[in-house]
Amino acid sequence: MDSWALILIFIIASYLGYKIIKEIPTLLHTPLMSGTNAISGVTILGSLVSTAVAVSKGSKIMGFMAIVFATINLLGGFVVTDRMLKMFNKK
Amino acid sequence: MSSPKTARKGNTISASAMLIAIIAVMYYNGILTIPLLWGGMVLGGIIGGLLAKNVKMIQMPQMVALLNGLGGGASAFVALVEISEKYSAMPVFNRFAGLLALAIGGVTLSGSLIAAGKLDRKISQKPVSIPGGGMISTLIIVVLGALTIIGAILTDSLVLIIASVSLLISLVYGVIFALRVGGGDMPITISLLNSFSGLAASISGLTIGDPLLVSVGAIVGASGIILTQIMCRAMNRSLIDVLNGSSRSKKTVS
Repeated sequence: MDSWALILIFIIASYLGYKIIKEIPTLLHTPLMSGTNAISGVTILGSLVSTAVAVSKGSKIMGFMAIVFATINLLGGFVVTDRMLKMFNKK
Repeated sequence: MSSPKTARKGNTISASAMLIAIIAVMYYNGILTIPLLWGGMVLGGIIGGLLAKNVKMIQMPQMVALLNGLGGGASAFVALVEISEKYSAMPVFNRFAGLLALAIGGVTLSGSLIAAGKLDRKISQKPVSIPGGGMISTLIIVVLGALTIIGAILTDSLVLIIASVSLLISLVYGVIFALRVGGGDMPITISLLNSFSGLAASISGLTIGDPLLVSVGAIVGASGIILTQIMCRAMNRSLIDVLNGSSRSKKTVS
């Protein structure tokens, strides 16, 4: 994809991130942090693609580790956030 | 996620969306049947699931810090794979982005691990300031920047060495950066590092040219940095003070 288009996407998405924060009450900021943390595990998409096309053994090992790390981040993050939010519901 | 009642559903929705995105990306690239990928995801899933289920509520902050570090590390690894695989074929823009993702991912990884260690009281909670720390960290940022630019211009195999060096330096920087922060200011640091890991994901998306990664990473990056500012204001601290362990007066924020 064209580099300039990607940069444009980057800028628009940054603005969107700003808007999201504005609409969320302070009470939820901690789970929000945990939630966005889980979402940053989205890097798994990158690790999947680049590991799949990797040729050398070293790259495959690194890519494999990237997938493992990203999955821990992703799944762990969502479960942790869910547990945090469960506490809110009890109150 | 705009009210506590719907927040849980929102979390589930975003988790499912992520699952769909993973399947879609794998299908789109025709890599749905490579066992190595599934192996990695299953292993990571088991570790992540067990960790998150068993952690005590009071240990939550360090858990988030740890997860965050892994996410940053993953972005750094992606960049490393890209660089070592097809550097000579990459345009300058992608090379630059790759090295940048490497550096930010590295800082996130080591910084978050130190932060998690501090919260878990494995490391002293007091801010540790290395003599001349302010100057050292400025120097490191300058060197990192120079390496990134030099690496982006070079085309030959030397670049792998540059990449390794800049990863190493960024790991060291992450340690220095997190060690200087006192225990009470850790939440702010984690929020900042969270923003970094989003940024790292976004930039690694620029490297491989994946619009989804770019946009989602940027959302996390931007929301993280604003959240950091809100938290600073709530605790009546300036970000610069926090990063310096409050005693020092001057430091550049990267």
